[in-house]
Amino acid sequence: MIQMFHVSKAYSREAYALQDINLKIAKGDFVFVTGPSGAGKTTLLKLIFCEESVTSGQLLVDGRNIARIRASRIPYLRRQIGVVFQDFKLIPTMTVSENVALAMEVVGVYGRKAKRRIAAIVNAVGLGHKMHALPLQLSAGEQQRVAIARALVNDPKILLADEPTGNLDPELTIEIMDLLNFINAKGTTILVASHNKKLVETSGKLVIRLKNGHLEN
Amino acid sequence: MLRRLVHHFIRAVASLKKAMFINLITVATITIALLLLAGYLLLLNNLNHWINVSQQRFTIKAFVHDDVVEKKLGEIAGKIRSYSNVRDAKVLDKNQAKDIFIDRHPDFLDIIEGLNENPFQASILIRVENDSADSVKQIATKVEKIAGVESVDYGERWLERYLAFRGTVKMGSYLLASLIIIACIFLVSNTIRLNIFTRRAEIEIYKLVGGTKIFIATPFVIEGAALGLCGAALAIAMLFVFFKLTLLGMNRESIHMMSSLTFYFLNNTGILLLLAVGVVSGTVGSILSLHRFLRI
Repeated sequence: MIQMFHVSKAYSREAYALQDINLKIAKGDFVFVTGPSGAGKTTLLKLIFCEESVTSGQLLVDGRNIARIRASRIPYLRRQIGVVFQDFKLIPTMTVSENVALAMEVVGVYGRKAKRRIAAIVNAVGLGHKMHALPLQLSAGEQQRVAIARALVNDPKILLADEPTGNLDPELTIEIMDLLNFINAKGTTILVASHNKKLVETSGKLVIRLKNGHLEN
Repeated sequence: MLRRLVHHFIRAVASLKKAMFINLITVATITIALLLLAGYLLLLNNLNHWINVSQQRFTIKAFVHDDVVEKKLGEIAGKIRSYSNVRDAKVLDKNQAKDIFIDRHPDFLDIIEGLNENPFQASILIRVENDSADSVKQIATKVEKIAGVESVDYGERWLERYLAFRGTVKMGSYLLASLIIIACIFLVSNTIRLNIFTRRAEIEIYKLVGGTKIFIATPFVIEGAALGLCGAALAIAMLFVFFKLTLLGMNRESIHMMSSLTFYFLNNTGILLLLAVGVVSGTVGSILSLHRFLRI
C-alpha cells in the first residue's frame, strides 16, 4: 500500500528532515511511527498526503508514484487518504455533521445520500446524539472522534493520524485507540505518528522508529 | 455541474449568514470606499449636463444681403431648419434688428433715428441641438454657401476655446474617475482579503480533505462579489438620500439664484458602473487572497 525507496526530504542544503528512508507498509497494516521530537514522524506523514514534496527517492501510494505527482492531482489523492491531527482541525462554526459533511462535499455527494452516510459514520464513532453540536460543546475526545469520522466518511484506503492522542488523557487515549483498531479491523491501513512510548509498546502493532530523520529499525 | 454550482451558492449564502458581523463590517468599509466614487460620478454627471445646457445656447447668426426680400428670407430660414442638428432658425428682419439694437443701446436712439436708411442687416438666428457643439462649424459652413447669405457669425474664436476647454475637462474628469475606480478596487479587494484571511483555517481543511482549487475558491468568490455588490448598492442608496436631503435643504433664495442649474442624480450608466466596480472589486479581492492560500 505504501512503499518508500530511498526517500529523502530536505528543507535546505543542510537541513534534512528525512534521509534515505526505505519501508513497505502492506494493505491492512496498523503501523506506529515513533521517535523523539524532530525525528521526522510528521514529515513522513506529510509526504504521504503530499503536504510536503519528496526531495529525492520514490514514494508509492497504492501503486502510484506520488513523488512525481502533478499539483492538480493532489486533491484526488487526498480523497483516498483520511488524515487526523493532534489539534483536530475542526471548523468551530460548523456542527459535527457539517464538519463531517465537508469531506463528502468535495467528492460531490450532497443531500439525502450524504446525510445517510454521515449519520452512519457519526454513529459508528459514538456521537450520534451530538450531530448538531458545535466543536466547542464537545470534549477533546469527542472532537477527535469527529475528526476521525470526517477522515473515514469517504471510505479511504489509508488513515494517517498525527499524534491523535497527544491532547488527550489516558482514558480518552484508550477510547481513540479502540476506535482506530475497529477501523483497522475493517481493512483500512493505518499509520499513527506518536511519541507516546507506552502507547506504542503496549499496542502490539508494527513500529517504525525514526531518529534524526533516519530509520532506526 | 449545475448541481455543484447551486451547492456553491448555498455554501456561500450559509457562510455569509454565519459570519454576519464581520460581513457587515466588510460591507460598511466597501460602502465608504465606493461612496467616494459615487460622489465623484454624481459630480461628473451634473458637470456633463451643465456643459450640455451651455451647448444649447450656441447661436449662429447668418446675415443676409440687403436685396433679399421677406419671402426669400423665409425660404432661407426654412432650408436651414431642415438641416440635421438645427433646432430652430428664427428670422430677424432689418426693423427687428434695429429695435433690438436700440433696446440694448438707448443712447444711440437719436443717431439711429437721424439716419436716412436702416443700417442694420436682416439675419437668421440659428439654434443648434444639444450635442451639436462640434457640428456648429459644419452648419455655419453650409449656411454660408446658401444664396442670399452674406456672412455667418458663430463666435468662432470663443467656440474653439470652449471646445478645447470642454475636451480638457472631460479628459481630466475621466482620468480622475479611472484613478478613483482603481483605488476603490484596491480598497475593496484588501477588505475582502482581510475577511478571507480570518477563514484561512477553513480553507486549509478543505485542502486537506481533497478539495480542488476551484471547489474551494468558488463560494469565496461568490461571497466576495456579493459583498461588493451590497456595498455598492448601499453606497448608491446613501448617496441618493444625501442628494435628496441636500436639495431639500437649499433655501428658497439660493434656489432662485441657481434657477438656471438643475441637479441630477446618477444616470443608469453611473449606477451600473458603481455596481460593476463593487462586484469586480469583491471578486478580485477574493481571487487575490485565495491565490495565497490555495498553493497546494
